[in-house]
Amino acid sequence: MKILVAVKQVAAVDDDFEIRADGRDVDPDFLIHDLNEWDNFSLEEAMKIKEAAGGEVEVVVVSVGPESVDEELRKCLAKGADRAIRVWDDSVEGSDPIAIARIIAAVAKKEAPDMLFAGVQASDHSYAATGIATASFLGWPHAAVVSLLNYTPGSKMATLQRELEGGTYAEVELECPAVLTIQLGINVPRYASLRGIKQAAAKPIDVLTPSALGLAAADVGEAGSLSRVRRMYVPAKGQAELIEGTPAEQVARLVKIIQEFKGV
Amino acid sequence: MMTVPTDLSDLVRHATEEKDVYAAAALHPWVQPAQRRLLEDLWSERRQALLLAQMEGTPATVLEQLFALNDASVDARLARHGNTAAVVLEKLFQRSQAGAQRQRLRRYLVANPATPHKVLLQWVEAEQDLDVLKGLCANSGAEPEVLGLAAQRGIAALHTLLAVNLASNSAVLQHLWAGATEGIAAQILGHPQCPEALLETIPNTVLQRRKLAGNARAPSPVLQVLSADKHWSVRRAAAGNAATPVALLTALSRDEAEAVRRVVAMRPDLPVTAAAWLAEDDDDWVRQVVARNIITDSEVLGRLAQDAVMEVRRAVARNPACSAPLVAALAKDENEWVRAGVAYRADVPAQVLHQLEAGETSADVLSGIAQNAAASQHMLQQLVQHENPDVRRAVILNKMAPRALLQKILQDPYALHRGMVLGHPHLHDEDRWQLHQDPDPRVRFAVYGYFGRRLGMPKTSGTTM
Repeated sequence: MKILVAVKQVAAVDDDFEIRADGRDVDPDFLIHDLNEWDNFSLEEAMKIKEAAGGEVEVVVVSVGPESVDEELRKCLAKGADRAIRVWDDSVEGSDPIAIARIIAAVAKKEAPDMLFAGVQASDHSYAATGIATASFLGWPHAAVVSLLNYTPGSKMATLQRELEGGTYAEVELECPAVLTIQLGINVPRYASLRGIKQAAAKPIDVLTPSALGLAAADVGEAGSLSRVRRMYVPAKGQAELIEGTPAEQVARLVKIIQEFKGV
Repeated sequence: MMTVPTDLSDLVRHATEEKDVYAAAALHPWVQPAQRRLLEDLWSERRQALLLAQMEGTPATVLEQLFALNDASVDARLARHGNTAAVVLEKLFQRSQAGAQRQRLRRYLVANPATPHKVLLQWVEAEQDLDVLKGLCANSGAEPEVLGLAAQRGIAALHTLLAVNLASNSAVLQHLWAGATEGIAAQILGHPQCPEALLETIPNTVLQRRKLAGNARAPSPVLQVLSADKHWSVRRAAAGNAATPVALLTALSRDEAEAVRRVVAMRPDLPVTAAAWLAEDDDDWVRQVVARNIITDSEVLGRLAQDAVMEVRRAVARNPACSAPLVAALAKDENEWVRAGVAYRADVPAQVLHQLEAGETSADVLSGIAQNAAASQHMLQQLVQHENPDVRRAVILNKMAPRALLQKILQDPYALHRGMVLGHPHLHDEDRWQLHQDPDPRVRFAVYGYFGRRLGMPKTSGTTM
């Protein structure tokens, strides 16, 4: 029994930063990296299943990215994941979520897991597409925004709860293997122990290339993507005015502003 | 067993061998110039310089060295950093005279409380950028002379900021008073430096009367009038003003507005008879506040300890004047939040605390026990391994926690806990040094900062975390 957990190294920026010279992303010097918040919950859900099954479940984490991503994969290993896989070569640069999903699907075909978990979305680009696109490439059943999961390793069916708009939930049954995108709050993610962190530092990470997974150059990077970031920018700030004074003074000022905008 | 470094060279060697930017930054203020240069090599990349220029706690010597990089984005971070020395801020001002990002740099510089007076003076009269002027007028470190010159610019958008800035003096406020809007006038009346003469007149608007009623310098006769104001918010402000004469508190304790009674119930000079009256109030919040008030007598506290509302009983349990028998009774309360109130008392008898320990499962109560100096060693042994991080954290706050327990926290999964425990006086330096390779950079920064101070400070100064 195996669960594959797709994770991502996300980037955060402080309130002052610079845009890259090509205008399509933030200058990497200003980025602070971390494991995507949703992925902590995905991994924890996999670990709960593994621990409930008494260790007969293998949890494998997979990520697509350069060497710096190893730091996030080691965090997952420190929390108890059994193996880590990273896929990268220069051809992957410029991949959108669809191309990334194609790569993760290729890893899933190779690993043949019984379940594949991903976060609902990544906190940096917020596409919320990779998990479901992976299911599409695999042709597997899928469920998005999973907030409760009942699954026994080896079972052909899983029962789960999906979070919907307006505070409603849908209880869903689906066949396995399946792809689930996991929502925040489904569990309480653990902190890695110091011993776990030290052990993870010595564990190997399997590094694969797209070609080793049977993918062609046209499947990844910008060539394999359905979208492309043309420009990244900070929008100009809008104007706001705090209207002070008595109610009569405030109304008078408001009328004046409306007249200015209407050109009266 | 790791060998604890005995001199700064040893520490520098560890930091450089580990290529640890955080360790290097923590050590930088304590070492000689030649050693500093070795450490500075560790943040030679722009990414690291940006990181240190942003990081809270980066020492002033590191920030001064980063200034030498002459990088506009690093400069912007230095201009906002709370540890940047005044001399560096002055140099940044000189640098801000030119360059594409000068306006951004100026906005940050004028808002920094450490920016020298002479720099702000150069700006205040000639600056045209409204955002720069706004930052200057909100600067709590600006001297009244600067704020006065800003007020004289006659720019209405600055007046609110000047009226709320605690650095404004009475002359600045007097200047603003002429032509002030209702809101600005109210801010002036509530300001600690409000001109004396303005405090002696009862204003017409509720907002202004409310701000005046809350001013600790308002004269007694004025407060007497305001404590009987027709609007409850004015009476509430008067009830909370320490300058309001005690003679008025009895009447305020019988005010028709709950909001007023809630405020008057917390006054330490409340007459005992008024406290007894408020203890019978229909409003839970009023009873809760009076139950927490140290002047409430033991008989009244005894009645409040029986209150149907949990928050009221909890307030009795937290009241320093609560008697030992009452504390013992509240330790058996059915509500965990009330029992937690007992567990957090520094004066709780050991016997009562041990009764609380028995079979307790609430994390709130266990946290209170864990931080209590009277907690049994047996109980602390269990709590230091508790699954709830709040409980484990409370053990760190226990001044009587023995070294053997604190050593377990050195392995805690929470980096915050590992960083906190470093400061516990029962920990030895060999324990602290175990964390010099901690995976969390904040912990390493704290470890190297501790040893840097310890080995770099003159011996007579002592060392504390």
